Amino acid sequence: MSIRIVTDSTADLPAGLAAERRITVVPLTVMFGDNSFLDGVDIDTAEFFHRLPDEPQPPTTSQPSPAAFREIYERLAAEGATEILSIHVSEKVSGTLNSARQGAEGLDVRVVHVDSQVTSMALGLGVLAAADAIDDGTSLDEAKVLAEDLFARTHIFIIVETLEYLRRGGRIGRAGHLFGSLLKITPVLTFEDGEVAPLAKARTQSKAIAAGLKLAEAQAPFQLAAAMHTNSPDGADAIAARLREIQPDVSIITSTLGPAVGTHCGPGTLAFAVISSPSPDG
Amino acid sequence: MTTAGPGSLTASALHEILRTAERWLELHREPINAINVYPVPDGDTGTNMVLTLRAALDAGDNVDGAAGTYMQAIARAALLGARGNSGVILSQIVRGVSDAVGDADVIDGPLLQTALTAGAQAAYGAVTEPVEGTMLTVIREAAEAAASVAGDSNLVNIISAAASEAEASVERTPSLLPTLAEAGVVDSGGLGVAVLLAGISYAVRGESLPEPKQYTAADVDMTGVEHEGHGYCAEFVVVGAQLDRGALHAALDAVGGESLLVVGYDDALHVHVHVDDPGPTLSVGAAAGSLQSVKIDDMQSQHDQWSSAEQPQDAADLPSIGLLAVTQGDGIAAAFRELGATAIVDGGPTSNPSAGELLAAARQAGRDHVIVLPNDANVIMAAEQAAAEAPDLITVIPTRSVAGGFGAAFAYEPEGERDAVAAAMSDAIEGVSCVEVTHSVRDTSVNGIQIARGDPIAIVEGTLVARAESLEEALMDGLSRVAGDAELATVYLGSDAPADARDRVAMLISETYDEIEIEIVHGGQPHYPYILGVE
Repeated sequence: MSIRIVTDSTADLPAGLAAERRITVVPLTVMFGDNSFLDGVDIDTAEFFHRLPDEPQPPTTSQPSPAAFREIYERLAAEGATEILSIHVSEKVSGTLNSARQGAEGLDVRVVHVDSQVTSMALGLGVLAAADAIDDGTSLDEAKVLAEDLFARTHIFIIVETLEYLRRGGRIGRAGHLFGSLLKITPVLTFEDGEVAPLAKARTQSKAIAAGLKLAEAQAPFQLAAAMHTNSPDGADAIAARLREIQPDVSIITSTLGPAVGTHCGPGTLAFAVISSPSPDG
Repeated sequence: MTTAGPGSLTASALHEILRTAERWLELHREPINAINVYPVPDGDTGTNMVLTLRAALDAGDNVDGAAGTYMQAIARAALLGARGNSGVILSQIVRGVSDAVGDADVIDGPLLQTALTAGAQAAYGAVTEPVEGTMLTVIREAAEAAASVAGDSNLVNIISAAASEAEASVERTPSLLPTLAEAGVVDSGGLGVAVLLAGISYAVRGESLPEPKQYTAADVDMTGVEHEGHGYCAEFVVVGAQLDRGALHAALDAVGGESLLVVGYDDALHVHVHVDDPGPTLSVGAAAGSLQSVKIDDMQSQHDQWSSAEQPQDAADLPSIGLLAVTQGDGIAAAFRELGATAIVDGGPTSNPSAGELLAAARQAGRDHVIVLPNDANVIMAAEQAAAEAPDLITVIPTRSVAGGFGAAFAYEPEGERDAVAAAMSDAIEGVSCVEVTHSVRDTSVNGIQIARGDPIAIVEGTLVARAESLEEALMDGLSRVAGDAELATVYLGSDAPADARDRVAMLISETYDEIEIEIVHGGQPHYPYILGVE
């Protein structure tokens, strides 16, 4: 039996880490006008945010096609995979999982899909933890249950500089009422039931980060953590340092928010994700 | 010296005496307002004390029984009617007296001595950090003088001793409080106490009140309390004998205003008028008779409340924690409402809501719990008074400025555990500084700064820090004191901010502080062309 893991580019997994863990990443497509780019393949975070201010039209994203998924699943089967665990961005904010399901229809290889109900490294961390379990010999069905349990313990905190991008891309979710406020609001956003929701409000980014970290602290101890940024590695490092103050031995992955996620959160976004350790009594 | 007088006071005698004292205080209200040392339109001490006392005595009109019963009734009403810090302290004095009187049928000399001492103690108890040279000192020294009257301790001697010591004590306040000395005034709250005791003393001695100084419109203007561009709806009832409706109408018309209505009978006239400054209007009314049911409403705020009431919600569906913000200005009120404020009570530097008003508004919110943001140093005590009256309903986050209030409101959650929400809101005030910019309303000297009437001044966290040549210079001076490593400066433009303020202020700040993000919003507040939140 050989189980392989597939995810999508919104997981924001650092490329080297995905390759090392034999995790296959299916790219979404990011479009500037008529020019389309495979997320993380044709365009990286740095180039995306470099282009963003000069583009006449705001970027858009589209999910991978069912054919793209089919091609990946078939290739993995050809490489010897007998089963595939395909874990993806919340179905409420992207059609990616739908494409993945369609792409798996009629294949000989068994594909089990998981809706992470989150995105970015909150998705990425769950994918990594599932990979750990599979390396330890967990069966596919057990791994699916385990992944769903992981995502139930996963918390993401997103601090955008402006709500404009989320609103324009139609992903503002339950934070919609915060847009266009009389006083500028820097919210701490999260994913709740698979969509964007506000957790706290602040006037400035640093206060929002502090508020987010305080909320994260209440979820400690952590099994895994991640800090993400669009173009400010210092900002992500500072968040990682604070997470280490909360829990010195925590493993933290620092990553960039890729073009697909960046299309919707906009420049200047800082984010972090944690998976709470399972409670001792199960 | 022994003077003839009553040996003890019944409830009805007390009421008559206190009503006389109220008239005496009313006659001194404007001079008391005028010596507020703070050179900005501040909590009007005289007005606050008169309105507080009036609210108390209105509750005593129909009390027919023991002196103790009467005192309990007015003490409770004073508590709810208290306005401003001076009003709250006054209400505490009444409360202390009432507690000492207990269930006594009448108040005799020895009981009066005990009661005045208890009143002074209660006043001190109302203040977290008592400051000498204020009305606290005056009531304490008056009570001490009253207590030291030995031997033939009849009521007249006791109250005369208290009144004359209060007068002397007021004169000494500048030596105790340097800001008073610097400004060349005595303490306004202390003067209020002395006037009140003098009024009581006249009444106990059975003397009629001396001819008071007549305040003309020009004298009233000397108080310098500016209300320009700010519409109030003033309503009150004048009660007296053989009232002359035509004469009152003419007198009220002479002090200005619109939509003037004077209706009623020869013993009670109902007055309604829209004015920029209700002060002179009330003075005219008070000259005609005793004022009752005084109601001063900020019309913009009324409009806001009306608009917000358009979409009624089912009370059962409402979240459990409400938010009540005390503020002025349509823009600021709208921003508080957007952050979830369920009630806005009009109030600020020149109009301090009473504890009773805050309590009523909190009750009206229909929530299990209401968090109150006073947003002004002079409203905090009334808010705390309201909370003491209904501890299960109200939690006060003692915000001293609009900027601090917004800081707290950002952490407000309508659903949550009340103590946790309150704690988060208190934490959120940290790191927010407030700069207020206005014109001085009188010549004075504060903190070593010589100020002429009309000078632009900057106030940081309630302390006057600078005078300047222009409002913008004052703004920048204030900002320089709190800029530090600030990320965001929010400028709330007042109703009388210059027309081109938005662009000018943004440019001025960005020229000096290129790291600070600038947000300029319409605040609409009176008196302060600029309020600046820095965080």
